[in-house]
Amino acid sequence: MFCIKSDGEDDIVLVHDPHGEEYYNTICTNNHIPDIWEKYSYLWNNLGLSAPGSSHFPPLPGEGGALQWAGLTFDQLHIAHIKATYNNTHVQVTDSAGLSLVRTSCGTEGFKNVKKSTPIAAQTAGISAATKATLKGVAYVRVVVSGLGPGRLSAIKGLAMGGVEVVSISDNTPVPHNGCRPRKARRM
Amino acid sequence: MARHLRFIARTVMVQEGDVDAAYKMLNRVLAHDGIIEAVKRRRYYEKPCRERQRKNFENCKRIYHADMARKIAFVSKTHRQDAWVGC
Repeated sequence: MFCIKSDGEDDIVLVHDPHGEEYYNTICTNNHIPDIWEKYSYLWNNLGLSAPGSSHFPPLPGEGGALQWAGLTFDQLHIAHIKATYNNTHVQVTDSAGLSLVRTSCGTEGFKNVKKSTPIAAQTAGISAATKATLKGVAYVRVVVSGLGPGRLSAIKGLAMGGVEVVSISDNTPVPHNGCRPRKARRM
Repeated sequence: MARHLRFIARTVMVQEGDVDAAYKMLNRVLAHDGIIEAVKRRRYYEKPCRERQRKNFENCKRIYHADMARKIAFVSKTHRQDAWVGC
């Protein structure tokens, strides 16, 4: 939540969380826009006019009860982990604590070798994971994607097509702060 | 991001079941934060000499683009106040 107060020529931008704590405040004049405003202004479409339930940001852990999906708060929803490597795509649906319910991948769907690293294989893996999850009683799921592979988007689409409602998409791609040394560059 | 609180950063809510738009927004946020290009770069090891060359090149490109944008903005400013009123 945010509000803008204008004071003649200057605009004061205040960003609050729902409890009223200020995240960030700044004064932006007409010509100088600070970096954080530029960075997130494309997310804030209608300034101050957005409906209370339709925020682009996820609800914070402390705030509960405001949004419900089948009687569950955001923190209690099931999680669908999608690991999209360059050669394969794995989909695993777990509960909010991390206990695994369903585990599918392109290999378990019958694809072999190079056909596993295609978006269509990822879509079938997503559909099969969604059907198995609905049999176990999962309706709403928040998706966590990891890796930049070919099946990154189509696995999420497959989940949605298979009958599970996607509530949010997170990215958990591992970015080391100069940890392990990757393999040497290919010369082609 | 195992040591951070989960589902706070790099997270986008899906509005009205529109998964494509949410994914596009997530991609835009990640690209703006430089995560996608960092992951692509770390797929294979980049030797320190190549890294220095790349950083130098990116610096020069940034300066060039900034100067060019300044020049274009200046040249395209056609409506100016008349400096020689009355002459």
